[in-house]
This record gives sequence, C-alpha cells and structure tokens, in this order.
Amino acid sequence: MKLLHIDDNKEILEPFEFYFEIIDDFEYTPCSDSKKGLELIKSENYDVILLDLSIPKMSGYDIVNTLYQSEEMKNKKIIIFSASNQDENEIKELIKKGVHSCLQKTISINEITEYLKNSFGVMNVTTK
Amino acid sequence: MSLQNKNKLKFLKKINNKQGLTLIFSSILSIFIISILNLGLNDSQENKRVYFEISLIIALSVITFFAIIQYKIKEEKIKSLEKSKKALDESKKALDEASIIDITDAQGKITFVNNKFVEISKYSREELLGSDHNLLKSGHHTNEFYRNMWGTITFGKIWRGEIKNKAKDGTFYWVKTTIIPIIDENNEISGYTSVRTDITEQKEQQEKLTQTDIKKDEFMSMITHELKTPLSPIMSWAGMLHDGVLGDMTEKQKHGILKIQENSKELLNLINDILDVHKLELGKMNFNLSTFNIKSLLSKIIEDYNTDNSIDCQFLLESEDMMISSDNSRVTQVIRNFVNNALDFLPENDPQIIISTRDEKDFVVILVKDNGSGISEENQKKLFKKFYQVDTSSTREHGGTGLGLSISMGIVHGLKGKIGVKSELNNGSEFFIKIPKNYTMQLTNQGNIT
Repeated sequence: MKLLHIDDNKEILEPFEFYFEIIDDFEYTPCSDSKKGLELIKSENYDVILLDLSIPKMSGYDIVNTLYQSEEMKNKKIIIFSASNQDENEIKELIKKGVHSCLQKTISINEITEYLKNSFGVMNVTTK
Repeated sequence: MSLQNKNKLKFLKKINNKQGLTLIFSSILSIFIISILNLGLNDSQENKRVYFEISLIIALSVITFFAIIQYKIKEEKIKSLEKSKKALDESKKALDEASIIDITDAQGKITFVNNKFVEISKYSREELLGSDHNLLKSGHHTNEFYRNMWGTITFGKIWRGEIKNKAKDGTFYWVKTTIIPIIDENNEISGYTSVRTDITEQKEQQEKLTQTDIKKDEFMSMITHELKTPLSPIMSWAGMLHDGVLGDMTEKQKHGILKIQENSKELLNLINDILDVHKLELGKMNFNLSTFNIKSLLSKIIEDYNTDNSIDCQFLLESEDMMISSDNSRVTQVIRNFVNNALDFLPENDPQIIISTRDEKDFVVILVKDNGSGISEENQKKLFKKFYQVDTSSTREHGGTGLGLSISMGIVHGLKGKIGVKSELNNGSEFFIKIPKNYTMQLTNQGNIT
C-alpha cells in the first residue's frame, strides 16, 4: 500500500518512518511541506494519504479545498490525521468534499495500519 | 373602585331594578286604599280629601325615594369613572416613563411618539411625526424578518420580538418590542401601537459573553491540540519499543516503557476529559449514532479489562442480545467510567463487578454493580458534581480529577437518558444508566423517561 503522510511536525513523522522501514505491506512517504505534499498527491498515485489539518502556509483544509475545486478528489483516499478537535459540521464538510475519514492523533501506529488494512485491504504490497 | 363602593352600587342597582314594579305597585296600593276608604264608608267629603292626600303623599314618597336612589347611582358611577380615569392616567404615566411608545397609521407613518422614543432615537419629535418607521432601520435584520413582522400585524395579530434600530447619530440600540394593531369600528386596522423596552445593555452583555465563549472555545481547541501533538510521538515511540519493533529489551526496560504508555494514556484521558467538560458546558457535544448489540459492547469492555494483567477482579456479564441505536463510543465511555471507579474501591478478597442489562420497553438499563466499600448517602448526592471526589485528603489512595461522573451525566443526558447510583456503606455500589433504545425516536418523542 502506497502511503503518503503530510504533517509539518517532523516529530510526528519520525516514528512512522522507523515503523514502516521495518513493517512490510506499506510504501511510506513522509512529507513535512504541505505545498510539496499537494504536488505529490497530484503527480503520484498513492493508495492512501494521511493528512494533518494545522499546517502553516497551506493547511490540510486548503489542500482538500484545492483538490475539491479542481475536481481531483476522485479516487484519492484522504484520511485526516490530526490533533485538532473538529466538530461534527467540520467533519461533515470534509467528508462531503470527498475525505474518506478522520482519525485523532495519539491513536497508535499499529491501530492506524490495522484501520488501513481493514478499510482498504492490502494493496500494492511491497515487501522489504 | 373599592369593595365597599362596589357593594353600595350593587345594592342601589338592586333596588333600582325593582323601581318600575314598585312604582306600579305603590300607585295601585294608593288607589286601592282610596277606593276602600271611599267604598262602604260614609265618610265626609273632608275625610275623602284627607285619604286622597295621604295616598298622594305615599305615591310621591315612593317616587321621590327612587329618584334619590337614581341620583345616588349616577353619583357612584361618576365617582367610579373618575377613579378609573385616574388609575388609567397613572398607568399611562408609568408606561410612558418605562417604555418607548409610538403610534403609526396603517401604512407605518408615525403619528405619535412619547418622550422616551424621542430620547432614544435622537430625532426631534417634529422629525419623527409623519416619517416612515423605516427611518430607524439598522440594516441588521433580514427582509424576511420584516416580512414576518408585517405579516403578523397586518393580519391583526400582536407581534413580539427584539429589534436593532439605528438612532439619528448613527449609534445602534436594541428594543424589545410589542406591536399591537389598532382595530377601528369597521373592524379594520387603522394603525399600530408599539411599546418597546431598551435592551441595549443586555444585548451588549450577551454579545460579550458570546465573544468570551468563542475565545474560550478557541483557547480550548488550541491547548488540547498543543498537548496532544507531543503526546502523539511519545505514544508512538513507546508503542514501538514495547512491541519490540525497534529491537528486544530487558524486562526492566519493558516495565519502564509500560509505565510511559500507562501514564501517557492517563494524560490523554485527562485532556479528553477537559475537552468533554468544555463541550458539555457549551452544549457542543456531538453524538455519533449507530446500531449495535449492547451485549457485544459490554462483552468487549469486559474482555479489555480481562486482558489487562494489572487488574485483579472477577467480571460477570448478565445480559441478553439487544440491538440499540445510540452512540457506541460514548456509552462505552460511561460504562468504563463506572468500572474504573468501582475498581478503585474493591475489596482485596474476592473483588467482583457484575455488569447487567434490563429491557424496559423503549429503554435499556445498564447496571454496574460492585462489592466494594460503598458510598454514604450524603456523598451519593455529590457524586455527579464536577470535580467532586469522595476522598480529597492529602493521603487519598485514589487519583483522578473528579470529572468522570460529571461527564458521564452530561453524556447520558445528551443521549436523552438518566443516570444514578444505589449504594450503602460497606455494602457495594450499583451505578446505572437508562437510555433510549432508539435515540433518534426519543428526540421526536421527548419526555417519556420515567
């Protein structure tokens, strides 16, 4: 499963990098620059994108809105992974624009991988 | 009019109502007396004249008596009217002092304003009279708002509402308004009387409170975000270390990592609790509804506790399969809170927690019973209050913030249910919730909880 993870906080990305270096089934790409992240979403074909919301300069909301406006949300499986407390309306709005689901930060990496496997199955398996 | 006066008038009227009848009766009586005196008696002409005069005097006395009564009635009526007029004047004066009043014609042209109206609008009386009421429009309200208002009053009904108006100097003021249509003798609306109260200060306070709530909300969102962000890598690293993803560890190292994980979870729970309290205070707690089997949910909770080696307790489940539509994770949160509290007060010998359910028509009752130390009646009353803890001494054995039960209560009330406890000192406790089996149906059928 090709996984792109966009989060400006490198402290968040680092344990994921360590984890996916060892664990099979995932081809993990960390990205701390949201503008670059948007380019990657557009140019590459990721199975799942983990997206933080509070990012300076270009937030997760901005990325979703840009993709939504240019009608590029189709076939993009974006999962919000944030420590922000979105209220019901915000979540509804994100889902309406094509976001797959929202996960709260502090959920363990194990739980995330389980969730991804359960939601999308094992795709494009890359054995390391 | 005083009660005494009323009674007096009533009495006089009573007599007066019989006036016609009495007059006829007295006249017939007079003629009858004269006739009797004249018939059969050979009285002299002089006597006959005397009898006639006596009869005349009786008749005249009766007439005079009723004339006096009539005069008295009129006098009392005048007194009464004068008093009513005085009372009306006083009321008008009081209303004039307290309220902003104006009268318009049927088209909304101002025909009368009181001093308070002039004062608050900052227009002169001359400027106001003959002007359209639109002169005071602030632009705050939608066209729909005014359409509704006119729709009500032109239909002959009283309209009540709050309006933001604009004074001549450009400042704004809020008025609580009642508009009463004036109906003329042809049953048509000839104008409107408006009575208003200045609520500008109240509205400003309200606005300030809303702003404070928004700031508080923003602050809470920011602080919980900032607290969770560093906690996320702490938990990720600890998880990987504990699972051996990053290599093998000694038992002591594993123990150290376990403690980091446990305390991280505690901290996360605390952050989530604070956030829940905040949401409940603002009435912003959201519920995610799904249909689930309550027995399966309780089994899963017990399974989680049973897999935790640090917990020494026998769990029993007494429940039938039952599908309910509610918030799965919030119900779990409440039941876990009950269990966590119970675990803190269990006896060393044979600690036991029984989780059971009871089907009660449209509701399900979930009970968590323990054989712990129990809670006194006095403490039971305070249990669901925010920050309350049974033991607050410096030597207390049990941690926590005292928010759990208060949050549980908020959640259960949000789910249109009830929460409670039955307990006796040294005889265990039984916490319970009673929630609708179908939350959505309950929303449209409130008030059924007994």
